[in-house]
Amino acid sequence: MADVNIFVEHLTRVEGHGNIVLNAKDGTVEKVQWQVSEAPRFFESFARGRTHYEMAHVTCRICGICSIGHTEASLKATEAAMGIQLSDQSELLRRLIKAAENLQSHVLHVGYLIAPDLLGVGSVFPLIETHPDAVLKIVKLHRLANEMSDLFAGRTTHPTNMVPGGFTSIPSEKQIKELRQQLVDAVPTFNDVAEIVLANAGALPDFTRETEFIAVTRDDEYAIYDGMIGSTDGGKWPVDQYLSVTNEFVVPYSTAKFTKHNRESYMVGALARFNLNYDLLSPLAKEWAGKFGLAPVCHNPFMNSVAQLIECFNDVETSLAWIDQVLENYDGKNICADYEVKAGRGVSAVDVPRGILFHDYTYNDKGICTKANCIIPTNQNHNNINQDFKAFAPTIIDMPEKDIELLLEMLVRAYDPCISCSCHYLDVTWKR
Amino acid sequence: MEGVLNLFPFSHFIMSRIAVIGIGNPLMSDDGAGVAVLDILRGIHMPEVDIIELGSGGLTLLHRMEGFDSVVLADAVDFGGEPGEVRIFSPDDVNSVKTVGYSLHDVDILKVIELARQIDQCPQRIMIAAIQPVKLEHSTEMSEPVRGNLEVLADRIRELVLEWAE
Repeated sequence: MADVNIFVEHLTRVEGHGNIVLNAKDGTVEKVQWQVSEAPRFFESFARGRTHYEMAHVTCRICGICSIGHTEASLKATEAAMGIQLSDQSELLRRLIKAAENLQSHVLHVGYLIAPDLLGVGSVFPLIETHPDAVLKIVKLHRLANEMSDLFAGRTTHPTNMVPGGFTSIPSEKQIKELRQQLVDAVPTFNDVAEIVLANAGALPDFTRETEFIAVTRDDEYAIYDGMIGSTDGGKWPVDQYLSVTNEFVVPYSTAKFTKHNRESYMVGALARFNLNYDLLSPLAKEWAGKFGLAPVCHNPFMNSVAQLIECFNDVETSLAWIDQVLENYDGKNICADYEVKAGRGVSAVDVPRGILFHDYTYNDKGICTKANCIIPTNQNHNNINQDFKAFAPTIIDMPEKDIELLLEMLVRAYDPCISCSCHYLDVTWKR
Repeated sequence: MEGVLNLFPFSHFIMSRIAVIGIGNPLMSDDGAGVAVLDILRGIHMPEVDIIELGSGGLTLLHRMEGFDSVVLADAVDFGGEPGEVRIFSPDDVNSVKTVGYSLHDVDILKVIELARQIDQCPQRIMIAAIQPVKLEHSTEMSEPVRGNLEVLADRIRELVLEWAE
């Protein structure tokens, strides 16, 4: 049996370094690793010395895709530290903004990264030739999610309207009603995209490895904005006990810290939320879960992309309900709670598109941050990806090397890791 | 109008002809140049121009460019130039050497432009206003050559916009 040696290097020059390594001898896997460097370990140095009202604007730069999630996690940590209570309307608007981010991220991930894998093409570009209608529908849904973010948050990336205590401005009733209609009108397009994915879902590998799933959870709603920390292995913990869940540790082949809880590793993200909070999904989301044959607890990480798609329906349906609640008692004047700046520590958890995100701040009596910690979802998933690799690689080792490489890449892509997010400079050579 | 519309929801519904879009992350030293130059541009009189901060928005660029005839993308670009050197060029003048990996986070704006063209949602004119970065590390401080040349970058963008506005 032939030896296999795979080294897939995706190296951006500053950070965002993720490599796949696989060595096999005589058909036996000797080494398989997901090696990563980078993580926002710089977070504390940026945060320390900042005033409480600056924190969200700085930390939202950690991630371009989860910019809203970082903003909300940051504000919630500050509000917890200073005992700031939001109005019911502000709580609803924050949830709507979170749903908008979830939508735009999931649409992008499924549409631009997963669909090309399912349809057997290398990227979204050949897809424009072969499936132009599908691409245009994905672009349309992405645009709608951006418009929803713009409307409620002021800006999709690095939002401007949210501050400790609430908002600096909120949309008018008319604007909210128009957005509501746009969401209703978009449902058929979501159905069309889901049909395309369903028709090609057979390309998702049938791989199962039992693991633990961790997500935010609540008894009264499918949680993404707020709740306790929950595990599919059982148990719920207040968010300020997050360190007893994440248990960060260091491995020699990665500069990103790994995490584990009840088992060797755990997974966070849409599949974790689905597995933990399935009962509270909206009707259409449950209907689509049924069509895909997805039921909790699903241990196939490739189904994370399907869970994302199902969450899109949940985001739309719950947003419609939240909008109705906002419109019922709309208050355009009292949009930010008064509060006193005071010393304290606050911890928050928000379930951003890639999974549970923690921010932990300590402020002095002047509202200056003296200590901060941030644990991002991707870092919590690295260990699980590695454990998946160890279980998955032996089952595909007899395949041609190119197929093994593609399947391992697909497995990593299913998690949509945030390994190279911070830097967006261009790197070019001149055409001569 | 400058400096106002980027705070306005649905800014792309307002059909200004020309936009300057700043790209980059101020937490990554010189990568933040594309955003920092917007602060200078907001203080310069440039009629009929929307100034938009994309930050690390990646694929959101697709929708931020929509509705404009002409767009300048201000960004840190490693084009092999001198530290802080400023160049204005067309996306068609260059090849990207970036490897797009496993995630949505590492987005190449040249790819976004290509996508916008393929789905026929691209401005007629796009130019990249580039500044050669020196350091790309976790810091809010830009290098001296880049910080020192931001005014030059702003001037070149202004010249280009005035030329387009004629």
